[in-house]
Amino acid sequence: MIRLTVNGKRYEFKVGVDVMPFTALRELLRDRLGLTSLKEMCEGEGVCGSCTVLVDGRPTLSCLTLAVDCDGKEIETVEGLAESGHPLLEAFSRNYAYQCGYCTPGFIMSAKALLDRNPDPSYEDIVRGLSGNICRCGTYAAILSATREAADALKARRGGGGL
Amino acid sequence: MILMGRPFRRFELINAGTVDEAVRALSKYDGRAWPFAGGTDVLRVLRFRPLPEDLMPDALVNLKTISPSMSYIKEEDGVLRIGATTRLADISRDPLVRSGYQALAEAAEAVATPQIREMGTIAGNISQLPQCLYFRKPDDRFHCARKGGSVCYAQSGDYRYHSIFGAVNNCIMPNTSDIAPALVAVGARIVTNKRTLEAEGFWDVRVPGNTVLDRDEIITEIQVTRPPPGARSKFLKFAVRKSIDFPLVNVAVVRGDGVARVALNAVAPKPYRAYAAEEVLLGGGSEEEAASAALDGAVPLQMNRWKISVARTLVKRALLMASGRGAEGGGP
Amino acid sequence: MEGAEHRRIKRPLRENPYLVFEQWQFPEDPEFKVIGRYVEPKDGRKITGRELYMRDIKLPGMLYAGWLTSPYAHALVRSVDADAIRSMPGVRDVLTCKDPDLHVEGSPEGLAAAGELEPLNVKRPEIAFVLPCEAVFEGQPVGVAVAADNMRSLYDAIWAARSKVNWEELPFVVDRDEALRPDAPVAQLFRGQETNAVDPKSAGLLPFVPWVPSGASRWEMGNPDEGFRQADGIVEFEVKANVNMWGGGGVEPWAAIAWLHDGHLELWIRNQVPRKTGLFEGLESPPPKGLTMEVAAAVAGVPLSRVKVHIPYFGTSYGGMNWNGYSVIPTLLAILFSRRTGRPVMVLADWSSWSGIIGEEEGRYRFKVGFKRDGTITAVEVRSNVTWGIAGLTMPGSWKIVESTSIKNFRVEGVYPYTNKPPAACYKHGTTECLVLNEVFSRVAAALGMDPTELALRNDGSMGLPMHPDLDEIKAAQGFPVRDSLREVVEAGKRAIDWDHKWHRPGAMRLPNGNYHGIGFAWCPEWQVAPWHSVSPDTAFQVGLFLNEDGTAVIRGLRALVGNHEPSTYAQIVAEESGLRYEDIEFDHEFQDAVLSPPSGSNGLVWNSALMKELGMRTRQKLLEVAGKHMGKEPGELDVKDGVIYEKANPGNSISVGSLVAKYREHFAGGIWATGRSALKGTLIPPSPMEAHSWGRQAAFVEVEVDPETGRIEVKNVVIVNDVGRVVNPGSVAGQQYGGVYMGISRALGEEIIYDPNTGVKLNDTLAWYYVPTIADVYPVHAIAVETGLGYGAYGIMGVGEDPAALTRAALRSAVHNAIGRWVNEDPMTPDRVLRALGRA
Repeated sequence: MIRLTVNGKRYEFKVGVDVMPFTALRELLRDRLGLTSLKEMCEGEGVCGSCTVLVDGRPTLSCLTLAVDCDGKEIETVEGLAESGHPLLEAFSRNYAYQCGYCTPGFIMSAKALLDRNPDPSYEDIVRGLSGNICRCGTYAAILSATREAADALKARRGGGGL
Repeated sequence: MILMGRPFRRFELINAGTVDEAVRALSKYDGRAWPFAGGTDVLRVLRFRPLPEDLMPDALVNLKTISPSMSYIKEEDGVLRIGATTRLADISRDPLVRSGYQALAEAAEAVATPQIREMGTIAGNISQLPQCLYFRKPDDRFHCARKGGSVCYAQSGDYRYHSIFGAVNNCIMPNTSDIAPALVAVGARIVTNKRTLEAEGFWDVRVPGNTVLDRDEIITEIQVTRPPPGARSKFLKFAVRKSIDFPLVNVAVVRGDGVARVALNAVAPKPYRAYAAEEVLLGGGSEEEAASAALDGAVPLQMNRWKISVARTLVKRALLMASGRGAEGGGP
Repeated sequence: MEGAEHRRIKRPLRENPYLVFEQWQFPEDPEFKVIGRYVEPKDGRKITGRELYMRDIKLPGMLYAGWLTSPYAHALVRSVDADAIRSMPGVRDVLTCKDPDLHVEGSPEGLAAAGELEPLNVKRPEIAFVLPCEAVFEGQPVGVAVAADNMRSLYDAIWAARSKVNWEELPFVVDRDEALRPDAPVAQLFRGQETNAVDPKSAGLLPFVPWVPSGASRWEMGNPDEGFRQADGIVEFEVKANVNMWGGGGVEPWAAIAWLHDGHLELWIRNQVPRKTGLFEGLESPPPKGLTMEVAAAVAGVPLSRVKVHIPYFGTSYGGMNWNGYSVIPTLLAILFSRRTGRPVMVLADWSSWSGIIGEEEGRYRFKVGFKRDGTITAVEVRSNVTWGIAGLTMPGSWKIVESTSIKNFRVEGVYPYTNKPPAACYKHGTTECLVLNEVFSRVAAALGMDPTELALRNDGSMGLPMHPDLDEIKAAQGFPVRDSLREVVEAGKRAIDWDHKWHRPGAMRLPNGNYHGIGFAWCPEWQVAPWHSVSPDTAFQVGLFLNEDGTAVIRGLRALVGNHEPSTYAQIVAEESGLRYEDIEFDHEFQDAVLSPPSGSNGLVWNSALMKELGMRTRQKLLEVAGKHMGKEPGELDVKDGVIYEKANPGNSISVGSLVAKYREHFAGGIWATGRSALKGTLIPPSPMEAHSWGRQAAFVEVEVDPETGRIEVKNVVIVNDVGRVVNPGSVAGQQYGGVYMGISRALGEEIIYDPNTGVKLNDTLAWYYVPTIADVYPVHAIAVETGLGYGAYGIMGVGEDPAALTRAALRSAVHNAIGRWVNEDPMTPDRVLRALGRA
């Protein structure tokens, strides 16, 4: 039996029945939980980053992670961020930091991991933090604006009180 | 043949609770079980099946479940001790490693991408299987010498990324670990359940593996004696892209306080310790002369001779930077 | 620098060290309420993970299907043990290349294959090419296709199929020049030829540009020999382009779904251009490649009226595959399987077969260029051995350099050998055209030691005519503003990159860090002049608008949403013209019979701006008429603003759009329709082909440092300037410019597929070794959109188009030459090639 928390909700899966040792986390999340934000560009080589999720806060490639290896772990996907209204989503939208949108969920998760660890990143920090995600349409520069804007929004939130 | 959504080849997963359990499982499967930690290379092999069926694993032995955990970084009595399953990202961020063992931190930082660094382990990185494109073409398309065949396809094919120091066991692959040259340069020791090895003696050219490890042997820890206070280390990597890429050439050096160690990788099937360069330095020669000496014995062939210029440049620049006198130039 | 002070320069987007975006207007340009201004994008929902992309779709009982792909560059499948595959767990159907379902009378038995040259004859669909017995490139789907219950079963079956197939390996050839040697092996047997030379006539090359007759492989204009005689200098050189273009088919690996149920065909496609029927009806050439609903219907055996098309979000497409017969195959296979199994079927294709396609400019070019001392180029000769033009549409060099210069004398020759490489496709391209134009100009500028921006201005023109005064007169006569697009664009760019302080002789600037500094320039015309689509008056482009009682409106039309922020852009134009609020307008992109955008897809906004403008105007008109009746006023006494119709003389007398619609439902129920013709600038079919000129220009400036010890090229700065005619959505324009820049730079720096010389196998069809850059490879980009109103679309729009990619590639190449004083004649310019050019490897 494996138990994992996904976007704050707890799930149980029976090994050998619901999930096999060789089931990738991505397949479990997409097929069983309908979390279709996890994409694939590179055929599961672990290069494109479009399947990025957070596992206990670490940006992780769900295509190269075994579902059974996530027993007891907390997993976050962009659907969870949408539900909780994380500023990254609005910031990406406002800054036109997406075109076809296929790579975007992966970028947002990498950006969240970055901001969780480094709430006030420089542009160099952002570049390094997002260097595991590929975009073909050419949204990199706009993504830098969006991530920095989200950092500002989170700072303002933390600052609390009124302005 | 590659298929979208390509599933892993089926396998059993054994969650080892102790080192003993892991070793016993490996023994029992006699080569058909592989150690498994980060999985960033092992799972790629299981997905794309570059190996023939008789070399593919039927089981994975999970080392992450071993207790006490093999993921740690500590310094005891002037010796840095890093557990085998420590993630590369943790190594690159660790203040101890960054201050005392710079080349190792830089090498860890240079591997692949942030995600792979959060998943991949130090033991996994130095044990990775050949990344040669002929080796890795899926479905054993090229059944080469490293898979039980008799031919090295790169030698008569496209070898632009391959060894500039000739073949070992009929293989001209470049060893693509970023961590490897750093370990060689700092004189690390690799501790397994059976023995302790000098880093330099860790790598080999086998079917299909790149290490001297036995079938029932796993790395448990990596140890580095702190270099003398006046010595600094430096790691440089050259690749086309600034992220993702395996190294096309990389270099790690330690310099100062009477120490001169130079190691290169991605230029030969095993990490290359440039003794000739070290002699030049210890004899008072310049970084430029040392860099030239480092490439003595390189075999310039039409498609990959460009690597010689790059390797020489990296050695020179790493040495200059380790002695506080160089900028990186145009890169890497 | 003159010019900048007289401009209204806007910077509507948030900036960072890597991106600055400027909108350049003249003070007398109209200020719009919504057009040209920042608006919040409308399709942000798709990044929340809540919208389904193509491969996310799961229908009840859906089967998964795929092919065996060839491990050989050239081979025949001699036999297949289909029964063995059929008996595997989860397998529902197996098709082999020998199956009667695939064969149509007249097609060679077992040997038909789809390459980019096979036109689809809608009257007699030759579906044999969906699953050929002959593989003509490594990775090609051949021999066996399987439909199974789930992906695991599918994979297991195809894995097993590898040993159930008898192959006959055949000799192959991947090198273009080798393919033309008399003793070369025949690369593609099914074509029934004894040599590899493409016969352009039988291949059905289309008359895409009017001055090159269909089927030509050689073309001349003026008197090139005389031009060379008159020259003060001549340069001859050769360039080899190994560029590939991963992602032409998009980043989401291709998939298609078909569901044939009860005589109705439902399709889910990820084609950029969901055409109903073939393009260019009425022309004698065979219809072009690419998926049409007509073909799908024919294969399914249903009438066209019973085909319903869904176009989900998908991981984009940049043209590429849509021009390729190849793009049809997944859909047709899905239809076949659905017909046979009665279930919905999703066909999955892979990276290696679909995205690992070659770029249309890949090959070798030989140039001879004559020029006078003052920079006038007197003659251009180009001999190329490339993939056959842009998927067969033109010959390299025959288009943009003629279209946008005053050069009078040309000789262009193309040879197009068949090889054992994947099909060619084009995306964000114009590369064949821009490559030729810019290699010519870069080399002449270097030979003369002349500032390349000056050389460009000196030769600017069209069809042999100079811009001044000849084309100025034509502009005025045709109702265009008499503005000099190239001059405006060049000035804006030079100012942004500080060209006058930075440009220097080649190889002359070594920096303290040891690197060589270089700065380069390239230019080209606007992507495409609207009338070139040669659309007959009978072709229907259409869009509708439906108003709701809550004041919202829905634009309805058929269009694949590839990621250009189309819904936002259309809503802006409609809002501007109609008086509705931008926030209240949505776009429904799957309305079956109203086809938006010209068939090629690339020039979308030139056409769709006209459609949307007309739609907005008609909406306003309708609202004023009905409101007039309601208020007892003439429409001329009323106005619409922010969703409210009011009396101009007495604004308190008003009614909201929603209330009006609710009261007069029957007036609005049928929707409001537009075809765009009334709003399209210029004529639909020009008086003569030679009179539809490209007025717009674009330019790229690239600054680099080259490390002479490692061969590494570091891009330090890029300025991209597009005359877009008019900006509608700044975020979208900036995105298109940036996207093109980044593609072009990466093509020149590293994107290449490596073939094993001994087997023809693609070695690096993996993103780990195919160098698509990450954000770590970014450099500052300064994007400038100049608004001149010189386009053929509404408001003088010409859009961004595909050229930024081609341009920046060319500018980078010229920058590298400026840095090291040597030409890197083979690209991509990877470190090994740069070191060789420097004599260090």
